[in-house]
Amino acid sequence: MLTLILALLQLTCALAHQSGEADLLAKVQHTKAAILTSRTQQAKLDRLAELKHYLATDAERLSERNPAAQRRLRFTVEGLRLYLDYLDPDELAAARCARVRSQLLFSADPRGIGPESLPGEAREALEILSLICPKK
Amino acid sequence: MTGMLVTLLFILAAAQADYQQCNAKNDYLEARLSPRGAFVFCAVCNVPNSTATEHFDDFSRIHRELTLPPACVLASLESTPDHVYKFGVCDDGTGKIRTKNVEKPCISESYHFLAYLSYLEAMTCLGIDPREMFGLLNLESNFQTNIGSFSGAWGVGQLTGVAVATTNQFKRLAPYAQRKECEPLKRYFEAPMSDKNACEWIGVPENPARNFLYAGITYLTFKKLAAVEVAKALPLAKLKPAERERAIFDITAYMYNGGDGGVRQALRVFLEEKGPAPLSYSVFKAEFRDYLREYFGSSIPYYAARPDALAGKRREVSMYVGGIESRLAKVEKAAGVKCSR
Repeated sequence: MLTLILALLQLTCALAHQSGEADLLAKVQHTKAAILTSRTQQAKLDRLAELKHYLATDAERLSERNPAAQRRLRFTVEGLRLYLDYLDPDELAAARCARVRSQLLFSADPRGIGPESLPGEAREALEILSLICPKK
Repeated sequence: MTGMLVTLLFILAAAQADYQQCNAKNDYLEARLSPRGAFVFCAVCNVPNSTATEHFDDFSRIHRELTLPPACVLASLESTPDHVYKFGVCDDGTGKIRTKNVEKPCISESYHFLAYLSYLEAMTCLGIDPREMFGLLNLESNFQTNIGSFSGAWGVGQLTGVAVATTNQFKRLAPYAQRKECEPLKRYFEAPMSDKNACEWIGVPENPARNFLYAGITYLTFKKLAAVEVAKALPLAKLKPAERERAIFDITAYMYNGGDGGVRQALRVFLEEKGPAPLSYSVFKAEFRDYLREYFGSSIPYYAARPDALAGKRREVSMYVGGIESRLAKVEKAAGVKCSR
């Protein structure tokens, strides 16, 4: 009986964990789609601010539970927060996209090895940056 | 008084140093440095064509405290392995770096003085104690001006295009331009170094002074971020000031190698898992290194890096501070003096 309860608990934890991952990915995808369809630069920056707020809340929520059990999810949330922080609204509003991109690359890969060595969260932030920056 | 004493020590050290005899294959830097002790194109000389010892005397009069013995840089240069690194020279024809048939440069008195004095000038300009970055640069390049890595990093600070580009774009050198201590390096503030042409990062005589400047700025940029992380970390809040400095140095060094993003990510999760109880420096040092080796770059599968690439990066980043310390110990032993703080 005890074994069954433990197994059920483990399963519940695993499902909750997976759902945490799914929620995060869904939120990021939703933000990207919203940025893409936003008509003004300010609207795009507003969507980015919403995502940053969501990540901050999520990080707080995750840290209240057993952090080690949620390690990979916590890493991902922290990584996204750190790299998205480099997407400075003032810089983006002034269309200084090249500076922002350099700063992000420097933070993620100061050795400049190339895209293959970039952390996934930094790649995601770069993709969001490319959606915000006006095409030349 | 201290300056005079150090000058005397330097002259004695130079007199006693057994410099390498250059040959046709390794004397390519010598063409830009005059024979034995006098600089022709010295980037840091106030008096053109002064001898190295005259210049050193001049330098030590300006900067009263020189905290790094010259033997440290000499021992670092001499400890460069023969076949581990590649070396490059700027091809006058193409303006690009040529590595084929380029040997490790011979360590002459002129080359030693150039590396040593350039380092002191750049660190003095940036307000960094030369002993602070010594171990890191010893690991990165052995103070060799034209050393390269297979990932495209060049020079004493093993700079990359992205590090040079951000320094230029964010004008990180600008706050130092008007400092009196930066006067001898003034020309490098007027024309930024190219982020595309690595020749500018290794060419003598502008380098290694210019490369040291950019490396120092990169180091300070990361140090600022490391200090912020430590300041808000509850488990590290009760460290003694000296231990706090060491923790900040360790984190800065990890960032210099692996980027601030990944290191801050790991640090935040590590500290959260440790809980609010105070950590001693020794526990932090050992456990955070192990944590980096185990979890650096951990992400949910959607964002995960390729396992082989991640394993390599984890190994490199987690061993970085240990590498600095072990290579520093060897150099200090060879130099017979202390080169770190």
